[in-house]
Order: sequence, then C-alpha cells, then structure tokens
Amino acid sequence: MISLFLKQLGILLSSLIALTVFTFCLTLLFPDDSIPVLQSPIESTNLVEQYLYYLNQLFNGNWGSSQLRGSEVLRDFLLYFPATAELATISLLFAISVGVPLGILAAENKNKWQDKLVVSTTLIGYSMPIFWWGMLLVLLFSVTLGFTPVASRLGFEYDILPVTGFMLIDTLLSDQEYAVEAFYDALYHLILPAIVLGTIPLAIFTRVTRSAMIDVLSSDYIRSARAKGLTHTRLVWLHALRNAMLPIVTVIGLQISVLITGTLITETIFSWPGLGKWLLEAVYRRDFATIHGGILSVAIIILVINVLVELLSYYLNPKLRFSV
Amino acid sequence: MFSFPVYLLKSLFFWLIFSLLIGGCQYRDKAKVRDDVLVYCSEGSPETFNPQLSTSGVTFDASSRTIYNRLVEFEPGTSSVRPALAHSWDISDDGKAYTFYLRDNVQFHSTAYFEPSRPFNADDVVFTFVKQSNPNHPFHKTKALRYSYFEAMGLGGLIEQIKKVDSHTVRFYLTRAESPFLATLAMDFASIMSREYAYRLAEADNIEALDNQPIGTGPFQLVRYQPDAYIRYKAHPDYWQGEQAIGNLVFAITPDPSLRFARLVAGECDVMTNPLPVHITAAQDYPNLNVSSEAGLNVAYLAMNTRKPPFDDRLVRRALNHAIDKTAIINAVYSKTAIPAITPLPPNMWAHNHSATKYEYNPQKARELLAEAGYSNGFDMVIWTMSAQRAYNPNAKRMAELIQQDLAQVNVKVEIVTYEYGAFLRRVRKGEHQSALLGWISDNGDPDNFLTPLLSCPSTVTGTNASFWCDPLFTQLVSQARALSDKNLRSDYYDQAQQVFLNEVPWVPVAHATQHTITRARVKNFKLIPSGGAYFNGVSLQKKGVKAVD
Repeated sequence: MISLFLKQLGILLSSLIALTVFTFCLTLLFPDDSIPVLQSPIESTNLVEQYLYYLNQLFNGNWGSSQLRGSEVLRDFLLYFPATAELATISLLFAISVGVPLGILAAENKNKWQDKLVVSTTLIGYSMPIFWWGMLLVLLFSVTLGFTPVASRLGFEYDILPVTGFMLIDTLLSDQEYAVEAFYDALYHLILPAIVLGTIPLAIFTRVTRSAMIDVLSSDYIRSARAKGLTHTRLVWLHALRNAMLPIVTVIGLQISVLITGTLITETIFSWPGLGKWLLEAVYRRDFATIHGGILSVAIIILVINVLVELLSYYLNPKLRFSV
Repeated sequence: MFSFPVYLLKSLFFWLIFSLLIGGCQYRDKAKVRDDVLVYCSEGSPETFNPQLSTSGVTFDASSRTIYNRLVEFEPGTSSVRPALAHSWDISDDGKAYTFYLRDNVQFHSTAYFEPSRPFNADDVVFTFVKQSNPNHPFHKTKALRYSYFEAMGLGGLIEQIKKVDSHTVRFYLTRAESPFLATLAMDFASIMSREYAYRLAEADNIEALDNQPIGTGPFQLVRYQPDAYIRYKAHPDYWQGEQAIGNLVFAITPDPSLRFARLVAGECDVMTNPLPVHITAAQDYPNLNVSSEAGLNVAYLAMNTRKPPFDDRLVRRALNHAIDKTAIINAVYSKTAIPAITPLPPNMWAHNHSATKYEYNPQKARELLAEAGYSNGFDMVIWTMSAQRAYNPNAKRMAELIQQDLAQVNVKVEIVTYEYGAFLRRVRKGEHQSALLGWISDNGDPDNFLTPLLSCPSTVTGTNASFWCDPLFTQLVSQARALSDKNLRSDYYDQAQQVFLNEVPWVPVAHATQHTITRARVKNFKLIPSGGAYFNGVSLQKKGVKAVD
C-alpha cells in the first residue's frame, strides 16, 4: 500500500514538473512584461535558471497580477474557485445518485424495455450539446414556468457575507434572520446548472454501471448467493454493486476533468461567477497573467484529483490492497 | 469490509426531498417579494471604482453614476448642464476663468471602512483635479490604469490653475477660452473624491483602496462587490438631495444579452441594459415590461481611409454615399430602432445642420460618379468590422453584408474582414484599414466632442480620425467654434463645418441608434442619460407586498 502511495506521489510530482515546464514555455510566448514577477530579473540567465526562478516564484505564491484589474491572480483564483467547486460537487452528486441506480435498473432488466429506454436516453444525453440543452431548460423551467431561477448563485434580496465562498455554507453561517431561507434559495439556484453540467457524466455513469453490473450479476458467486436465498435488494446493492464499483470509480475520476471543462460552458449559460467565467473573460480580454494562473491552477486541481481517485480505487480493489 | 448502508441512503433521500419541498414552499412565498431591492442587469464587471481611471461605460455606471457626484451634471434625458455639487457658477468675460460656488453640508459616505469628519468643501475639488493633472501629486501614481479621459479631453494643457478662493468657492483658470469646458466637468471622470479619505488611506499605507473601496457624495454607497457576480449598494442616508426611495441597489453582472432578457422576464432583474432589437419587439408581448427609448447621442459610420486609393478621390466617396441603402440597414440591423444619419451630428443635437441636403439612395447616380472617377468597371475593396455588439451598432457584421450587397449593384466588390474589438481598434488607429465600420458615443453631449476627435486634422495623428481626412477649413471652423461660448454663434460655425463634410464625405454616415432600456412596470421614474448608461438617482419602486426583510 505504502509503495503504491509513493508511486502515485511520484507520478503527481513528475506531472507537476511537466506541467510547469509547459506553462513556463507559455510565459516565454506571452508578450514581454505580461507577468513581470515570473521573469528572472537578471537578464543574462539561461533558460534553466529562468525556469528555476519561475518555479521559486510560483512556490512563494507570486503568480503575478491581473493586467486588467491589478488584483493578484492567486487571490482571484481563491475568489472564483469555491463557486466552481460547489457547482461541480453538486453536479457530481447528482450524476452519481441518478446515474448509478439507473445503470443498476438497466442491468437488472437486461434487454427488457426498461433497459432499452435507459440505454437510448443515455445515448441522447451523452450526445447532447450542453449549451443548447442549458438554454432549453432555462427557457422551459425558468422563463416559461417560473420554477427555477434563471441565473447566478443567490437571489439579490439576500445579503450574505462571503466567508468560505461556498454559498451553501455561507448562507448557514450568516447571522441574518433569513439565513435558512437563503440556504434554500442557494440550493434552488444550483438545480438547473447542476443538471446541465451533470447530464453527460450522468449518461456515462449509467452506461458504465450497467455494463459492470451485467458482468458481475452473471458471475458464479451471485448465482450461488441467489441459490442460498438472499433477497434481491441485498444481492444487488450489497454483493454485486461492491464489485462493480471499481470501474465506476475509475470513470468517475476521469469525469472530474470533464466536469471542470464543462463548467466553462455551464457558467456562461447561468452567469455563474466561477473559474470558467474568470478564464473565458481573461482569454477574451488578453489578460495573460490570469490565463497563465488559470491554466496552471485548473491543471493542478485535475492532477491532484486524478491521483486521489487512483488511490481510492486501490483501496476498493482487494487484489491491489492486499498484494503488498 | 463495510456493509452498504442502504437504509441510510433511503432516509437521506427522503429527508432531502422532504426538506426541499418544505423549503420550496417557503421560497415561493417570500423570495419574490423584494420591495426594497432594485436589481439592474448590467453588462460586465467594472475595471475599478475610480471613474478617473476608466473610459468604459460599465465602470461609470458602477462608480460615478451611483457613488459620486460632479460639480455640474447633465439633466437626465438631455445634454444640457445643470448645477450639482456647485449650486452656481460665473464665467469671466474672456471665457478663461470659471468660478464655482459649492453647496453647503454635502456629506460623504460613512461606511465600515471610513468615517468622514467634515462635509465636502473646496479642498476636495482641488484634490480631485490636481490628482489627475500633476504627475508629482502623491496620489497621482496608479498601478495599471491611466487617467485616459483627463488626457483625452486635453485638460492638462487647458487648465492653467485651480484655486481655492474660500472653503466653498473654487476658480479654474484656463489657458484659452473653451466653451465645452463646462460640459466636460459634468463628465464621469470629473467625479469629486474625498481628500480626507485619501490622506487617511495614505496614513494606513493603503492608497489602492481609493480605487476599490470608494467614498463619494453620491446617492448610493458601496456595500459589497463580487467580481463577475454582483455589486451591492445601499442608499446614502445623508444624501444632499435626500435619501433615495430605493434602499438597496444591486447590479447583477450578466454579460449575455439574451440571459439578461430572460432574467428580466423571470423577474430577477428590474432593469436591463442594452437589449438586442429582438428583445424590444419581444418585450411588447409582456404587459409588465416597459421599453424606454431615447435618441442617443451617437453615430455609426463607414470610414473610408482617404489616404488609400480609391478613397483619396472625392467622387468615389460620393458614389458610395449614393450607393448604400440606409433604410434597408436600419430595418435589418437595428429593427427600425435607429434613424438614418445625414451628417455626423444627430438631429436632436442643437448644432445639427437642418438645411443640409442628404445623399439619397441612387445606384444609377453612384455608377455615373464612379464612371466619372474612372472606375466604370468598379473596383475591389475591404471593409473591416468588429465582432462586439455596441450601442450604436448591434451587428456590424450584418451591416457590412448589406453594404456588400448594395455595392455589388455598382460593381464594387467588397471583402469583409472581422476582428475582435481590441485588435480592431488598435489596427484602425494605425491606419491599416481601407475602410472600416465604426461608431461613436458622445461623452459630454457637445458637438465638439463629435467633430474634433473624429474628423479634425490633429486626430489623424492620434488615430481617432479613422478616415485620416484632414481638411484645414473644417478644422479651423471647428476650433473657432470651440472658443465661443454663445450657442447661436457656435451653431453657425458648425453648420458650415457640416457643409464642408458633406462636400468631401470622408464617411458614409449610416445611422444614429436609439438607446433602449427595458424595465419592469414596478420601476418608476427611470431615465436614460443620452451618453448611455444607467442613472438611478430618484428612481423608485412601486411596492406590492409586505417587506420580506425588516
């Protein structure tokens, strides 16, 4: 276990080095003086020394300032990150909590009408253009029916002091008398964006769960468990799902980077003040310091999450867990 | 091995749905009632809260028009100037000294970060202008942004001295007589800042807060700003015109125009900025939406680079003026929310030449003129456009396509090249274009603000004169008019200048767009300002239900 942990750590470190080499090369392509703090003050230094200086500055938290607003990039990142993290977490929860049971349902009824319905709808969900889908939902549920809010994270009648940046937490921390009401409002504002962002991962989770469960359900131990008289629920949820989890967890891990890139579009549709909007605006306005910081931070997040997921799948896989 | 807690999952699900339903009922009852909050769906995040450092309307909406006041201000809905922080003023006979008499008992905002010890006085006025003009002033230096408007309006060279006569009298000495000066002082960059606050910040070694934690005398004070999300203000309790009827003002930052409209329809916004023409038509289907329109002080035009052939020939430029069907453009691009332009000045401006003869749409005449110029077989040309939507031109690319069709009728083959906004402006300034679709929104409502930057000889150097047309007579007429303070005399000069323009036609003036804002019916007394932008002073909300929050 420990050696596996160390191995993952090694992978993480080497990917980080590769990443910083890449972003360092980017800064060389940027116009001069776009991120002065990352450029070595001594002119005669060679590329390696410049790179080391660059790394040193990054480690010390000097990521430069936005050319547009003059604010520090790292601080901006911390300002925008919670909104994206909150949205991505809720969509992930949504996609798992709907996708996995749907996949199980389809596997239990393999080749029956339930299965066919699930398979065909997930195919549609998987190939849905997010932008169009989001617009459609907003038009139907928000504009026409008035069920859900159109955009942003909270209704403006609530004045909530940002503490953590996570709206669901901040509303509960607030000492305003409408704190609980604001919490529900924040939850309501999350519904549509989470559904839109979660649609593609949901389709993928369903399909992966379905095929994994079909494999497991046809295996010998399930058959003997069934012969022993175990109830169907126990059989499926306890014995089969546990072994089907492994491919599902791997796919969930892979989908997290899809989620993060999906926020770029979803945040634009819902005017959601997260990383996606931050980065797009920076690209649009040629704010190189922000572009650099944005790429670096998003890539680091994805790398770290991927390593965590790898470790989790080791934990779930007894073959690997007990092999060392 | 852990056992999978099915029962836990079930109860969690039940609890979640149950609480959502309960919460949902609560939500639908209360949250829609927000009698004390006006939400304005704005276009973007401000660059700063210091209007001295910006040229963008988005920043002005968020700073100078809410937080600050100026010595004088534009009467809403017109371009005439009325008293604000100065209750009256004198102009010396030679037009070179302006004396302002300041209002008593004007209070600055008192917020969590600053407690003013004295009301507004002459020191604040002197501080505001010297900060911008004197590079050695302790508060002059800035990090990223510059005093663009102060420089662009040439105030550095114009103001010789600013003198505090007594605590409530200030005199500006000018190097020359210049009548647009008064209107210039009503512009956003001339917003009055607190000297006391600046020095308090300097003591705390936190000068930058001057730009992002603003203190002004205006109707609203800043509560909180979340970039790309919202700006929250509350009414200034000691405002010199009396406290605002709206307790809270929120700017909901929503860059996408269709999303802004959706939010307006859903009731999340009360006012939306810059609707697309299609929204104006759609708004008529909703009884609770009002469209307010205002003839804008703007112009959209096709600038022909007179330094490049064939546009160095006056006959070709005239031919193009005859060949383009402006009515068709106004119908298709503006959905009829504009009027055709004859001269650079909009017809609702006092200096517009009403006796000017327009170039009527006549392809036959255009062909004759081209033949006379030696282009009977036509020629190839390139039109540059930009991708961004502007108040004076909702869809420059579509406009270029219509022009392309019109010009094909007279054998002129047009290639359209589209650029992103920043790159477009940069390259046009350098004169790399053959022709370009541009526009202008007046800053101070003065005719000089159209003619000098867009068409005079000096502006060919700075690049704002995109046709690079330099006519000595025109430039002379315009600069003579600038030195006069009598409106009627000035008007004569501008009439002649517009005649010169029509003879030489360095542009095809296309349209003056009407400005629009859509508001919900509960918003009362909202007025557009002619230079664009939102102005919430004196706006009120019709109350419907009980207060949601006490």
